[in-house]
Amino acid sequence: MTKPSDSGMVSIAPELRRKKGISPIWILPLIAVIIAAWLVYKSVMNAGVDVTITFRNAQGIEAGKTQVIFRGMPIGLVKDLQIRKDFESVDVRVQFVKEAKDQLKKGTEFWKVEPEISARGISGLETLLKGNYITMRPGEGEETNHFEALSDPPPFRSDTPGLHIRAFTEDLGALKAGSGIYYKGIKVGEIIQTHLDDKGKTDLVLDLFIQEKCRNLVKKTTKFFNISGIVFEGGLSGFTLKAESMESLFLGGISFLNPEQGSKAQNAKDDDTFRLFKDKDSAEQEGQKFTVYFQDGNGLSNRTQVKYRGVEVGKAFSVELDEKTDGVRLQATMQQKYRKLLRKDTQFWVVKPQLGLAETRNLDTLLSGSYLTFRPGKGKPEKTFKGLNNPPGEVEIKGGLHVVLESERLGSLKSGDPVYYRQVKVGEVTGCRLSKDATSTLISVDIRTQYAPIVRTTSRFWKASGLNVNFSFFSGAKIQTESMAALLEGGIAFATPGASDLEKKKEDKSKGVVFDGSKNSQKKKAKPKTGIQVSGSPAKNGTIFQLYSEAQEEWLKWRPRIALGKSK
Amino acid sequence: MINRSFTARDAGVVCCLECHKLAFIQGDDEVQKRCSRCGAKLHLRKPNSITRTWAFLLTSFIMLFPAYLLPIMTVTSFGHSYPSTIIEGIEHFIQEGTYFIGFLIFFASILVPIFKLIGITLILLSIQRNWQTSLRQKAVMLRIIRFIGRWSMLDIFVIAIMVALVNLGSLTTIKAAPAATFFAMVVVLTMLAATSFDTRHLWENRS
Repeated sequence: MTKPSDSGMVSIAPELRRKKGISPIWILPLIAVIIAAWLVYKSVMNAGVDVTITFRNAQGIEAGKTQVIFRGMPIGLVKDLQIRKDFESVDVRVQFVKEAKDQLKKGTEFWKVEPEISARGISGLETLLKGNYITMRPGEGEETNHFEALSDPPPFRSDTPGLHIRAFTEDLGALKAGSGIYYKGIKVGEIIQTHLDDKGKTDLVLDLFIQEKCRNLVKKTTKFFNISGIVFEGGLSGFTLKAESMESLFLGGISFLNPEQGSKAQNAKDDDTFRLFKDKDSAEQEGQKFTVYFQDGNGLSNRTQVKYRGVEVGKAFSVELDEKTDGVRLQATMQQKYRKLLRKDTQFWVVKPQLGLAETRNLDTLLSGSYLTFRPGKGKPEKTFKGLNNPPGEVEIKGGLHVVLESERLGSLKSGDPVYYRQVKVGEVTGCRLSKDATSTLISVDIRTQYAPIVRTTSRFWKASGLNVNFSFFSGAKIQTESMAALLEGGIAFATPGASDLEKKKEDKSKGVVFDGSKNSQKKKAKPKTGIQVSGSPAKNGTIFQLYSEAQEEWLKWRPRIALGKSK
Repeated sequence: MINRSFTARDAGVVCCLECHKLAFIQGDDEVQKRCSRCGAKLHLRKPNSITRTWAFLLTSFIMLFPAYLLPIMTVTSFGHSYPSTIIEGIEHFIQEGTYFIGFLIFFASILVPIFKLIGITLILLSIQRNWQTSLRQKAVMLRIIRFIGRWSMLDIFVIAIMVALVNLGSLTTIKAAPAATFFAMVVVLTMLAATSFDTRHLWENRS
């Protein structure tokens, strides 16, 4: 073969072909295999855990889209949905990342998170766009792969660090989930959820959450109260209008106070329960609860105060009909420091405004409302009482003298009527009743301790009610009355004779002379007897006196000297 | 038939693969010498042609699985991510009623790569096993494979354009997912496989 010469031709000596090894190009498939193997390994290692969650309602759950989000991180994905054969619920198959496997224990709770738009704001906004998601709270127990979802979020979001406690209340008012918890006006937490008591009682349960940094503010003795809305307080002493922040005004809120100052009280722990008071006042006055049964609830309300000797010692918080006793059940609290007053035989009654011609009593109750007062008993501590609709009769005022007057007719006397001695009020009628054989009326009278010595066994009692008109031919008409109050409203007066008076009386009687009152009084004024010894012996509790319908003239002249007791 | 069986090698001529200048050679085998004009190494055939083709082919075959099984594109709309594989994307288009685009993507992303893989495998096998039937069709097929190879990148282009266009911040964003890389590798590797193959091998054993 001829070879055309070429200028660029070099020697064309043949060279031996080298024996080829493995071509380096095979590195490529090798790399591909490694990548593929790594992918397979990764997918095997990351293979999730398949579990089934049963939902009553799978609204918003989509296969391949709905995620299970825990602490803001997706840890699972809904793979498919299947309705159960009984059409009662939906099985949602969820694939979890393998890290979640250890957490999928029997007590784990799942629930849907849905958007909520309310006055307090919008929550779960992300779900509007992303769709609902499922979230969970890990529980304890054996590992399992089938769960029942909750229809509502569980009461506690235990995953948020902070203090989770519960408060019980009877009326929610404006409170709802999301209402803030304020301490001295600073928001320290919020209501997580409100729901009925688990046991189906009437109480409502509020799940409260206190921020971690504020958890030390809540002690075991802390008292929570509602600060929703506006508080309008009016009284004789003035009016106050109180509203907490605008937020709490519209959205409701809770505040709390610590009755025990300092770090003396123990800090509250998770799941502690508290009572939620209606307002700050009732929180401050919280104490011993007690129940009083009344015949009728006239004048009673759940704001009725409980007063003792004019001092507020407690407050009613519920008044309702009671079928058992066919009456009214009033529940109230007695401040802790006064709890000892609640003893057996304590008698409660309602003080209502009285408008009378002669006397207007308890005018303050017109504005402040009727209040409940009581006369403490002496028995053991007790929590249930029977209430009287009128002030009780026949009960000693503590330390006072208690006597009984017997009269044919009651006249215009009634409980509360004053008892006068020289037109000074020294006691009052505490009750009226018929005697056992119905032949007369028995009037219980309490004389204040201070004046107890005045009442002697020889004392005379008469009705000071009405006018006492004496018409005599010689002296003309004479109208006699006790004070104006007694004139219009009635009352009882009494006099205690001196030792000499009685003697004189005997004399008078023996003489059979009818005294002329005016003359006699002039005589008395002319030479007052100051050193007269009192007659008889001090009356004892329960002594029965005759109640005269009018005073005899001479009684008015008695002026014995009696040492009064010390007023308490 | 002499014309067909008479090759450059028989004539002792080698064609430079770079500048196509002819050079004379001695002996039958490939020579270790350089082109007098452009200086490129002279080869009777593309070096290691079949081996290389096989390697590329196998690599792309392996890559095909992640390319099809992993999500190729993630649409993040309103905070929620919707990753989708190629097949899911096609399904989506078909369900939406845009059959044309659905078919186009199906053609470019699934039919063509698989067709290329099978075609090249067939050609390689026919050389190694000395299958002499319908060589012409195989040659045509190889030309088609080389021609449409570049069009397989359609899917990648679509994703690239979508990522650039649909970037509405938090409303909707689109991101390429791992399968895009694997798919691109499949396309590139099959193209490499097609080009590294020396067509002349097809006719070599023809009698």
